[in-house]
Amino acid sequence: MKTNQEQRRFIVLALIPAVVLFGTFYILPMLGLIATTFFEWNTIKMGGFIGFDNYLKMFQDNVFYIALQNNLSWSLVAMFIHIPLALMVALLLSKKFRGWKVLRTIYFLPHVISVTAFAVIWMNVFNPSFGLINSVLKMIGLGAMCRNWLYDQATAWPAILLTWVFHVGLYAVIILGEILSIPEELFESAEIDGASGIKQSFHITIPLLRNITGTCVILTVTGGLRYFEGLYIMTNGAPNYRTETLALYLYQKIQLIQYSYANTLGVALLAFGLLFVITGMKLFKLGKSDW
Amino acid sequence: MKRVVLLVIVTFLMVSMILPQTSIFGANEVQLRFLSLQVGVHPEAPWLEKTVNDFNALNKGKIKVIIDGVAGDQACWEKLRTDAAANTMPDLFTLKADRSEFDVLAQSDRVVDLNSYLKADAEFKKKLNDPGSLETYTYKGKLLGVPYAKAYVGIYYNKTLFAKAGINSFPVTWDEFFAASDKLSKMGVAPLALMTGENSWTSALMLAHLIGTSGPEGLKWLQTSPKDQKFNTPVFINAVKKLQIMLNQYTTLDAIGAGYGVAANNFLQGKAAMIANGPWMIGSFSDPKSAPEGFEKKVGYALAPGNGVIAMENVAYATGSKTKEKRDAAVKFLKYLTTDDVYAAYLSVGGAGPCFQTDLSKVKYPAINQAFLPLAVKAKNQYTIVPNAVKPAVIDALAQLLPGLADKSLAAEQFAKQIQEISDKN
Amino acid sequence: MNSEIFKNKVIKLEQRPKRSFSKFIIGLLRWSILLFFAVMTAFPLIWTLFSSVKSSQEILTSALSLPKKLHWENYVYALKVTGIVQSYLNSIIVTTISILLNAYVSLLAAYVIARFRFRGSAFLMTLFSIGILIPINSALLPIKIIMDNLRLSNSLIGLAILYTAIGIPISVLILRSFILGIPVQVDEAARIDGASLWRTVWKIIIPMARPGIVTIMILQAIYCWNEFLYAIILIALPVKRTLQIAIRFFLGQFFFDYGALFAAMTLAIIPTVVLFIIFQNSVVSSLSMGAVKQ
Repeated sequence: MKTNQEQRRFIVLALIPAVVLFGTFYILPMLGLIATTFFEWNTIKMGGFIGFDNYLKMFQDNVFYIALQNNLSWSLVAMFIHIPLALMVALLLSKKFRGWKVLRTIYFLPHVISVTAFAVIWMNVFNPSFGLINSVLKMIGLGAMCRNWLYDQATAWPAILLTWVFHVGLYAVIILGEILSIPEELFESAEIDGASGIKQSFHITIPLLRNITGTCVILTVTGGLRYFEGLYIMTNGAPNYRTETLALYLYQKIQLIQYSYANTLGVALLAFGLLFVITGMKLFKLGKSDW
Repeated sequence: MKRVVLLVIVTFLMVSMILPQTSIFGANEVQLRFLSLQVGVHPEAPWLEKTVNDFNALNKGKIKVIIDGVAGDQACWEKLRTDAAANTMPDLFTLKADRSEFDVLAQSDRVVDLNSYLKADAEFKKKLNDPGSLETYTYKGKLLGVPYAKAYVGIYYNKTLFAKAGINSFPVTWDEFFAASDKLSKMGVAPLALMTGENSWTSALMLAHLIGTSGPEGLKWLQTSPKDQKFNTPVFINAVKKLQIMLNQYTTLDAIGAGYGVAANNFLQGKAAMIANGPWMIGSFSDPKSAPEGFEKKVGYALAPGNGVIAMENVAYATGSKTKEKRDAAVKFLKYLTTDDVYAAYLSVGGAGPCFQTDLSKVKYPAINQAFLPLAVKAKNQYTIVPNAVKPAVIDALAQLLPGLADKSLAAEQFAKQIQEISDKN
Repeated sequence: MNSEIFKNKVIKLEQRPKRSFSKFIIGLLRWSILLFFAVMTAFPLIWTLFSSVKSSQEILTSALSLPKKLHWENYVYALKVTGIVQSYLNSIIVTTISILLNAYVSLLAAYVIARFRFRGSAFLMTLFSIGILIPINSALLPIKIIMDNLRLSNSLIGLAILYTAIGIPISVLILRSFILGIPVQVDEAARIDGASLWRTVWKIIIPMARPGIVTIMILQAIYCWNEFLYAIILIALPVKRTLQIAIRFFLGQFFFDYGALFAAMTLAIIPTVVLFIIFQNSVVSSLSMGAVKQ
């Protein structure tokens, strides 16, 4: 081992590029945004200091609470349905049966498609006059159940959740990458001990995937918190704010040039997300090495 | 490996630095950035390109206009207002008359006042002689743009479908309108192509027609400035009640949540018999990519029942240059835009009405427009669009509340009350 | 002895049909689950391909049906209207620079965070985690001003640097968990052999974390390739337009050509698909390499 000094120099030098870039394009704008929440800013030019008015306004805003609630249910669905499904797919794929590479490619490929295409497809699946769901319902004689799924107050939000919950490809492939990097010896020794496939999965693989699964949970929850493009195209929060989320509401406020209120919503988004991330990190003991 | 990676990076850096350098030639040339949405599939894109190329050729070595194209009204506006906030205004841009855009830019103080140029050039001043148009683009005594297009918006209707339903002429009163809608609807055709998505455009136009033709009160309502607007009024509520009937009975199933594309397509495919929209739509009637062959012959363009038409200033061209050199060059381009040939070509494509004196004999309006314009100019009730009479947040709220109005879970009075709350809060 | 062998055989024979039957059921279950997700995920891609040869009218009228007539002219429009070739090249430049920079910068940071405890290391990790939470679109204006001041606006390299920075939190987070999966003993062994830390990263960590590196490179590539908001705001010169700006030329408020839009999208998807297939093979080959090294 070399001296501590070499180590210290390495730490500093290796961190500099990331910290500089991160500081310039994340920390700096973020501090600016937080600062502007205390000012009036409803035109191009910023107005005067207004203290906590924006925050008071936010806590009296009904739409804010709807958005918060939607974000919460989105995050829970992501944690408890989306990622477990991804984990299951990854485990099934990791058995390397014939054709697994093809399937892996298929799982990943749709992520190259832009959000616009995704949104347009789902709008057509839910379309009230010729959409897939209503057509199928009519075909099997359940025509009475037909509705305008995305614009019925009762079904709008579940329909939105349905647009992504089964698209597990990305996380399945990430988790798969981790499974494949588990040393073969571990499985070999387990096989000598006579462990079956499912047992292997539960006793060896899954525990070793703690870190990556936790990372995926954080990625999907935070990704969901930031996501708005598809929502914007599909419903833009309608009907009656049923499909509003914080990120979307924030974007709408930017469009209305209510900059400082939008940034206040951004701060709320940050706080909400941080809560989830910290819980997630504690839950999955992230950052502790497996070795 | 390391070397290969480094080599690749260096090569790409070099390539990317060499490739897009533009100002190698003509160091004395003034370059003007023209932020425009008239690009891509926009029908005015060829006109803009030709105009800019001709202008650049005329001023070779001195001025070069470069089109910074951003397709889509919303994306283009996002760029423009970000530029305004970051103080990097484009040298030339389209200044919309919509209050939601015009007021923001006017207050930002980043648009060049053209009055001094008008004073310096008597001919230019004489040319821009339409006081109404000039006033639209004047803010606190400053003229912020060269008025360029004025639109008359009525209602397009499908003559074939009307004939099939036994309706001989376009209804002149709202009672006749609803009777005709009933006939069309019984025939299995949706009478109206409405939409509640995006900015609820075609629905908001119908709302303007309903309010504008309801009498002097209605005309006054549409002239009220957004911050003083009241929604708990009989004028507004009565119009909303009629809109509710339209949304509930007389439109397509997919109107709820539909964007403009869906609404337009319903009309173009003959699924809906009427659509409220402006002259910019005429091109799509004869475009094989949007409509069946021969569709343009089926379309009529009529005033709204109650002898009404939306008369709106549409766009002006403006400059945001910071240096005098660039300002002068930009104004030179603006003057070039007002020359007869350039303007005639523009009016022929967009179907808009002129905002200043020009040789109209050179304008080749589409047949549909040719018949409609004289009627529109003489219409008894002329009014503006709803977005100019309400706050932008109210237009956003339409998309939220119209679905409820359509399925009758929200009554017109409640609707008005909620809109009022939103207007007060924003 | 003979009888014992015989007995074993009998037992095996008795067990066989049951075993293969349960195996069959498991296989069927596995395949139907995997195929369900495959269909769910592949559908949008196939739909995009089909839509690229439909007319705008058809897409609006019957979006989910098969094309009645193949409208190849959509591709002609896509190529003609937007100057897509130049923007293709620009996107390749931005994406290449950005994925390489991002991978290297993030790997170093992730390695340090995963392996060393130092003052502020926990704080740094939390900062990066906050980073993935920031709705980066709300920072449009401040970032535009920062880019203007650094003279990075209207430049492809500037855009690449911005994308690199935006990708850092996610990349660091993913890479860190991959590095945590590599036994510490491996790099300690290298250090005992006298390798410097830089060399350890280059010779040990990069090969062993390759699946992770490839994953973040693909994610970054997809991000760079599909990003349009910053590209629209920051790029003004037509010669520097990226692909996504060009694609949006078919999508206006009142004027659109969905057929050509999807044709342009298909053209944009192709390189990503090719890239992914190439990279995917490199993941597989790297796995055996890692095994040998151990």
